[in-house]
Amino acid sequence: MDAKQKKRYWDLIRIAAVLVTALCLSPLVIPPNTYTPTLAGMPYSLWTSLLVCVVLLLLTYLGTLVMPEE
Amino acid sequence: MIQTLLIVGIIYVAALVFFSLRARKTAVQGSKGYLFAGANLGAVLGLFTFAATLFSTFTLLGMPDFFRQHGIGAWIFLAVADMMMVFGIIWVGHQLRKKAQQKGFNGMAGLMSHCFRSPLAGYITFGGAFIFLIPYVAIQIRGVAIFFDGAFPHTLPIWAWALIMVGVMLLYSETGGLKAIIYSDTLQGILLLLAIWLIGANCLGELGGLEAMFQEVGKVNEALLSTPGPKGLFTFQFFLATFIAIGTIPYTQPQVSTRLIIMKDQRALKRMAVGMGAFAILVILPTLFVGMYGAVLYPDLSTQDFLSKALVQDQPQLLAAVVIIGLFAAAISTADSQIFALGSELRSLLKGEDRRLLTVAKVAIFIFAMLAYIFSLFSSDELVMLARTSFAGTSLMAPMIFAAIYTSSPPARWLLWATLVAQLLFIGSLLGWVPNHLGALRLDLALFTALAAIAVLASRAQSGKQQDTPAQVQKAEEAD
Repeated sequence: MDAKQKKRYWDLIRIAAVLVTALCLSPLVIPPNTYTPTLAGMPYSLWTSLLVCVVLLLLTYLGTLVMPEE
Repeated sequence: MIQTLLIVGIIYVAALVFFSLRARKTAVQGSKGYLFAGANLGAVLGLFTFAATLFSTFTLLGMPDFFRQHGIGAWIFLAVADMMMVFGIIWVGHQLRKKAQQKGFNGMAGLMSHCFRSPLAGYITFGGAFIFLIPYVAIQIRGVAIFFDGAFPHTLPIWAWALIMVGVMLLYSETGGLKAIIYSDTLQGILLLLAIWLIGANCLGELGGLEAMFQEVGKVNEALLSTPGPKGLFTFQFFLATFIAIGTIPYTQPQVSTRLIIMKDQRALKRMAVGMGAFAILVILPTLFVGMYGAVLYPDLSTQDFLSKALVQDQPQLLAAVVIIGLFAAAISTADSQIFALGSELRSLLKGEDRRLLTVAKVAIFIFAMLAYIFSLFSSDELVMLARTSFAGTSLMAPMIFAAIYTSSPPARWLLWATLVAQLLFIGSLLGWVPNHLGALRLDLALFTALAAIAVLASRAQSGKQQDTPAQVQKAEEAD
C-alpha cells in the first residue's frame, strides 16, 4: 500500500470514528426510557453501545495499520 | 479473614519492594532516569502502566456504585469515552510525541512554556494539573480508606487507613522513581483485572446469568435499564461533556501524557493503544455485573455498606482478600503516578543543576502526597462524580495544548489568558459562586467550546506570521 492510499484510508477511518461516536449520542443508541429490543437479555442501549465500543476498537486497530508515518 | 489478608498483603508488599529495588539497580542516573524511566517504554509495560494509571478506585469502587444508582448508561459514560480516548491516542498522540521530540521533554508544563515561549503557559499547565489532580488523588485515598473502614469496622480510623496507603505509595515511588512505578503498575494492572473479574463473575453467577440478571434489575427499577436513568443524569449534554473530559485525558493529565511520550517508538505506542482498548472493555464489564448485583440486592444501602457487602462479605475469604489487595493496588497505582507527575511537572518549570532539581522534585512529591492526604480526610464519598469533575477541569487545558502541538509558531498568548479565566470560572462554579449552566448549556461544555474556538483563532493569528529564526527562538527562550 503506497503512502497516498494509506492516507486516504486513514482519513476514512477518522471520519468513521467520529461518525460512530456521534451515533452513540443519538437516539439511535440512547432512545430515552427504552430498553427493547434486547439482545441476550441485555437492554437496548447497553448492547448497542457495547457494539460501538467494539467498532471503535476495530477502527483503532485498522488505524494503526494505515496511519501514515511522518 | 485477617490471616488470609495478611498473607496476600505480605506477598503483594514483597513484590512491590522487589520491583522498587530492581528499578533502583537498573535505573539510568539523573532526572531522565528517575522521572522518565529512561524514556524507553515497550508496548507491554506501556499498556499495563497506562491501564493501572487510568483505572483506579474510580473504576473499581466508583463504577459498581454508579451502575447501581444510575443504570446501564454508566457503560456509555466510561467505556465509550475510553474507546474514544484510545482512538485519540493514535490520532493525536503521534503529534504530541513529535512536538516533545522537537522541543525536548521535561514535563508538559515545560513543553507548553517552550511551545508558547511564555512561562505563563507552564504555570497554567502546572496550576491546572495541581488544582484538579490533588482532589483526584484524594479520591483514591479516601475511596480505599472508607472501603477498608467498612470491611474492617472498628479496626483502625479512616485517617489511619489513608496514612498507610500514602506511606506505601511514597516508600516505593520515592525509592525507585518512575521505573519502580511502571514495574509495580504491571503487577497492579494484572491484580486489578483479576480481582474485578473474580468478583464480577461471582455476582453474575449469583443472579443466574446475564438474562436473569437484567430481568431482576427490571423488577426492582426499570429505569436502570435505559437512559437517562432513574435520576435523569445521562443526558446528551452530560455524555458529550464526559466524552470531551475523558477523551482529552492523555494530553491534559501529565501522568498519562508522560507515558505516551516515553514510549520507545511509534510502533510500541500503537500496540499499546489497541491493547488499552481491549483492557478498558475487560475491566469495565465486570463492574456492570457488580453494580447490577447491588441494584437487585442492595438498592437502598449507602455506598460504603454496598461495597463492603458486595466486594467482601458476600465473597469467599480468599477472593475477598485478593479483592482488598487489588483495590489497594488500583488506588495506589493511580495516586502514585499522579503525585509523581506533579513532581516532574514542577521540576520542568525550574532551571538549574540536575541533581538539585531532582531533590526539589522528590521533596515536592512528598509535599503533594501530604496535601492529597489532608484533602482526602475532608472530601466527599461520591467517587465517580468527583473524578469526572477533575477530568472536566483538566480538559479545559486541551484547546491550549492542542494549539501548541499542532502549530509550528507559538499560538497567540491571549489563548493562555482565556484558559486561565475559564479555569477560574469553572472553579467558581464548583464553589457555587458562578452558575453551572449558561442558559440551557452546561458550563463545562460552554467553556470548552469557547476555548476551542479561541484556540483556532489564536493559532490562525500566528500562522500568517513569518517563522522565527533559530537565533530568535533561542533569544526568546532565554528571555523567558
